[in-house]
Amino acid sequence: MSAIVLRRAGELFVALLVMSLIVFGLGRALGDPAALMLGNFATEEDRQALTRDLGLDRPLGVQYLTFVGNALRGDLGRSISGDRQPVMEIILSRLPASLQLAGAALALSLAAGIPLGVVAAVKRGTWVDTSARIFALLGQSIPVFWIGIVLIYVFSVRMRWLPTSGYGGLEHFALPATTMALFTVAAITRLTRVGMIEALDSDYVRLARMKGLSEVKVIWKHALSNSVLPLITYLGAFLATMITGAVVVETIFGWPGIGRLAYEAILDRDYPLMQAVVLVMTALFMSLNLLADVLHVVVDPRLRNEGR
Amino acid sequence: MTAPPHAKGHEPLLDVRGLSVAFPGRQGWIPVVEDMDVRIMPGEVVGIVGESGCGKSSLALALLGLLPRWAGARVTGQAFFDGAELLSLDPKAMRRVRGDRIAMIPQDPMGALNPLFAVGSQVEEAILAHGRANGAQPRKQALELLGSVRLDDPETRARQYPHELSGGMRQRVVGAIAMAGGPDLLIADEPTTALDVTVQAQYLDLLRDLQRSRGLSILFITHDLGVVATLCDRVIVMYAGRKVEEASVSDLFASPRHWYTRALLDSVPPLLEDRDELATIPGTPPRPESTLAGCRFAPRCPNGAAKCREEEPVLAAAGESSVCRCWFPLPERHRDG
Amino acid sequence: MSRRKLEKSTMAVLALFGSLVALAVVAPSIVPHDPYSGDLANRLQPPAWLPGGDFLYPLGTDAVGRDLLSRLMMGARVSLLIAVFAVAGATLLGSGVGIAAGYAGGWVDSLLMRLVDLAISLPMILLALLVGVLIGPSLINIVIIIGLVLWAQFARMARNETIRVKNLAYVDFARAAGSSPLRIVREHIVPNIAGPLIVLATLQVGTVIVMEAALSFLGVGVPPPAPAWGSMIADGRSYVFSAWWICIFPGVAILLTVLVANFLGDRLAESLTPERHRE
Repeated sequence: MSAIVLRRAGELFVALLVMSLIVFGLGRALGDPAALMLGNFATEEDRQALTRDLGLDRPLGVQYLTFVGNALRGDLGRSISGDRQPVMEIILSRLPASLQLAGAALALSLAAGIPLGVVAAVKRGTWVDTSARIFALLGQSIPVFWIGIVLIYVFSVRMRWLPTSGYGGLEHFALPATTMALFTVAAITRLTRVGMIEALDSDYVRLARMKGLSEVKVIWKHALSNSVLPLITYLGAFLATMITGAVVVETIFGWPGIGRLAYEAILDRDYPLMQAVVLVMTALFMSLNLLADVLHVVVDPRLRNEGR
Repeated sequence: MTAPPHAKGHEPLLDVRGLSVAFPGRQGWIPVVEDMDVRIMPGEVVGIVGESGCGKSSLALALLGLLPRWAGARVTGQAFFDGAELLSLDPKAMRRVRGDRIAMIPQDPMGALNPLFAVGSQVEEAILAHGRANGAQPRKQALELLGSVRLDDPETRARQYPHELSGGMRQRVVGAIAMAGGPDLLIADEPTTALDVTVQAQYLDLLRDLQRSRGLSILFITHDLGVVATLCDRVIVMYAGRKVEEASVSDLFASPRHWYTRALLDSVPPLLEDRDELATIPGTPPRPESTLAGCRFAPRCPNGAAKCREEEPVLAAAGESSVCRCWFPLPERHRDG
Repeated sequence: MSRRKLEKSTMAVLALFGSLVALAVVAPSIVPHDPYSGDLANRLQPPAWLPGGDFLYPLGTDAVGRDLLSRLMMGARVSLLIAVFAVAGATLLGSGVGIAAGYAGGWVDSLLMRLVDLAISLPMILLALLVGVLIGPSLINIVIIIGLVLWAQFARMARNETIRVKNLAYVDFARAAGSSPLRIVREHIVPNIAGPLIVLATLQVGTVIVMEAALSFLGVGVPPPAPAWGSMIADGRSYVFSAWWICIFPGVAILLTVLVANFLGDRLAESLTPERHRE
């Protein structure tokens, strides 16, 4: 197992380097960064000053290496907007909000998706099953940003139950988390349903029934435990979807997270911030996938090659 | 553990009458088991022999109410077990019967054990399910059970997972689980098919000992005649969902009456003879959907007569305690002849 | 599902998809109004069945008086165009890499697959956003961006399928007979792996449409004044309280198109890969 972790960590590092190269290269290659940052009204002096300030007059290779060197020390530069805060600080201040939202969305998807999938499988062939499948299909076809707006319209504007945007208590979490969770709920419902159908037909479930166990135990202990395994494989992918979906969802709901930060930074051409946020999000993305792999091995005794 | 049930005179423990199982098909019901009668006395071992797909597993599953619900099977007939009629029991009552009075050993032990739980805990679960835990000792009882099925080193094995055990060991665990409720009737659905030959012999030994020590009745489903000879008292031969012959083991092997039975016996290569070819039964069994008139075996029967193809034969007495479904059964071979 | 029912539903879905494509193609000729400019006097008109609406503008008008229906139709054209080209490009690029990796094996395979794994593990929308902002929005750029983000999945599938087919008996036979690799690829491998690839491509059409809409929504997609469903939603966002139709209808359009694409992919999966399609 440690072999897997090491290898993935290595891959993560390589991916980060590549990503940083891409961001770095794109930025430099497509025009003078200083000019882009300052906009159209900058004077030549300002541009040269900024260039020297940011070290942009040095050779590209040197620039890149300096960047990497600094990054490894935790210094990702300073934002060019506002009061030039260190980028790391900005990111760290906005990270919790995103993690909370993603966590809430994941919890919601699991809490809703798994029971739905189980019921659909147990009541296979009935209207319950059919409705669950229709719901799952819709959930994976509806564009996230649109449903967010629709939800805002219905629940904030019309019903006035929930706030339209902002960060705060439970009522602020409701709509953004639901929007973010939609795709994942649908996916989880489908996966659980398929897994349960297979499990319910299996020999070990039949043996469990043969033992005379109650139907509840058969379904929720024996069948479900085996059908959540494939879910774990996808867990990383789900979280990753949420991280990327964060960009859109946070923007719509005015959520102070790193998704919206990334969007704003990119629009503002705030290079240091932009680079850093993209790198952090990539790192998160890949770490989550790694976590899912580890979890999978922990949960399924068949995958444990070492030890007993 | 229960004491062996005292034989209540000549009352059968299991009395199945006219059991039929059919599945919905595109053009009506497809019969998989037709009009089966099975009678098992306390302490008796009855074998059901037939090719794959002849319906023997469906028969067993139907008795325990374990046919998959979504398949929409239709089960008709009656099955009396110790007074109660199994097929009309409500789910809760059926659940109490399962494991406690009637247990089943399935064919594939790897699939039958939940891969995520240690083997010992699965046995414990069976013990707890029937309220047979003496105080807080289910762990100990589980280990005892594992020992009684001759699993070596039960302590270590109990903590292992199914994929860590060999096929033979797994089948013993399944046996322990089946015995946990102290059942009166054990239905064994091809339990040795997935095992190596040497392991098979040991397992059959085990079953025989369990049967003798507890007075267990066994319904043994198999396609292997050799196993039948070793373990069973009486045999039922099934073909295409129907019973075609039933006799005591000695009668059947010495003097088979149905042509199918004889073909089965012939296809087992004799130990001491040298044969150039393996005898097989030409053709294949009819598919359940096909609607043949006449005897189901007629197309493959060396004795095909016109009547066989037109009219389906009925079960008729063929000796003291045997029956046979054939218009032209083989003559009785006398033991000394 | 019975055979006949299956075939009927496949036909139905194909017909739906076909009409969408047809609509996209002839849109410029059949739009009731000019999708690019509007009549300010008629701005923010509700759909025909609501009070204040008019059958002249069946689905209402937007903030500058443009007919929504016409814009939706043109938007279909834009979306489908981008989706088709992006998916086609990704399929070609991905399949090429995948087949090469699968057929060559060895270090070539390892190297290419490392590349593919890397590409898959990078967050798509961020990449698309970045590139979009930096090189400026235009139709061609979007196709390229989305294609670049998408190709890795095709590469992985093509490679796995190639390996599977490579080991089939008659491919070995062809190699023993001395056929050139190129010929083997063309005659044996491609026809056999085409099925699953086509299914994947069809399913990705839906993904691409949503992705393009998201990018347009964020402002880095199709540039105005070209009507794109995503930017229409973005435009309508500020009017959601008063003129909800401006952003609701484009969303419905996206939803319906994606559903049809997914259904099509599902049906194709059953007919093209019957052994492996599980219900």
